[in-house]
Amino acid sequence: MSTDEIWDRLKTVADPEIPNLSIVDLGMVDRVEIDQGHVKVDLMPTFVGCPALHWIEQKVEEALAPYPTTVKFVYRTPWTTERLTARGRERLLEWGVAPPLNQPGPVTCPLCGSQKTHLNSAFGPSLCRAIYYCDECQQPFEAMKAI
Amino acid sequence: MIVEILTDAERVALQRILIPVADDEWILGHRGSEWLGLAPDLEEDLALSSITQDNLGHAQLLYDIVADLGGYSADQWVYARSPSEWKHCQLVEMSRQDWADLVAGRFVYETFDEMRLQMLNLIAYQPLQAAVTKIRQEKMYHLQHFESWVDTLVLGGQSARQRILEALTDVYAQIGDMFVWEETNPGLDLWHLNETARGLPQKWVTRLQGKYESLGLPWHTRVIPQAESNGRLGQHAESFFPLWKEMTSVREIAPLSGW
Ligand SMILES: [Zn+2]
Repeated sequence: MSTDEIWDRLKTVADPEIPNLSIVDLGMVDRVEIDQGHVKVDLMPTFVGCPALHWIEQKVEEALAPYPTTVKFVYRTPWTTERLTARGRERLLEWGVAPPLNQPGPVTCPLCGSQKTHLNSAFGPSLCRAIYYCDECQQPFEAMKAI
Repeated sequence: MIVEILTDAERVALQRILIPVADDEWILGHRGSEWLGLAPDLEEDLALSSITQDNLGHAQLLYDIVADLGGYSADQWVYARSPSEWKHCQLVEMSRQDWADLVAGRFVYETFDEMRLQMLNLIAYQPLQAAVTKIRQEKMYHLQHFESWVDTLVLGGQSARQRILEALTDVYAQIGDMFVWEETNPGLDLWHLNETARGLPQKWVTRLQGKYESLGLPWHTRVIPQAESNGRLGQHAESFFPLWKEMTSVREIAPLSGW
């Protein structure tokens, strides 16, 4: 087994809330290490209180089975939305969630592409998402919160 | 220099600094969950649930750091302490009252906590610095949120305005112990934090005054009251005991259960 193979398998572990987004797309994987047949995966939690962490840990173990795997959540370098990959940003948009803004400016509406939008609530249906409103197509939409 | 390993004296000192911070977040998380389904609207229900999850997450992260420094495990810190061993301040202990009281209390707490986290960032211990960075990323949204609630209520008509102004005044009576650190806290000396810690109340008052002025509210010079009972020394209001009982009840029944 190679490190590449592990990374490929990790790409099959999806975010439980946005199933077309993998933990690799999210930039959650900090480090992969193979030590005498034992795999160690260090993950960076997106939000500290994320209730899905345990679930993700299980899915990683399943994806890497039958190799014995230890998943650790680490904060050495805090996860920020800048870690989201280009592919991850595309995937988010496909799912109808606007990608996070890494600098101040208007969020683009994922439904019509307008930039005439405003923040409705910084707290959406999950810790990582905020609710916006598009003044052009007059629809509410979600965006990944920039942190 | 940022270090990854502390001396024995530093370990104990850091635990004593961090436990009140973790306790504040943990108790806030529990009190926040009492609002589930009762917030003024659906958006706020979602928001307060997220904030509550964040609070519990921050507490857990800090208890983990404390546990890594030796002694109790994170579980033991939460489940094995008697009420008088808890070090949170009175303000976070406040049980569910009027929505305006929650807004005032959280606004006051979050402005203070941001200053306290900046102070903790002066401690050059890598795991703590990483945690504080992460926590502040999330906390920024909490402060913005409650600050905008203050604006909404102040500008939101006679009754809302009156209630938030009363709540902001009342909350003053409860913050006496918020700024208090243990009388002899070696960590404050070790990391040269005494001056910063002493400056926090004035820094906080200035921040609050700025908020009043930006909203065109009359500002009366305020003095931070002496704490009548000091949560940092384990003195808590009657209302903490039922909460403590509830928090520890599962552990009572099933001692081996996890978080
Ligand atoms: Zn639109």
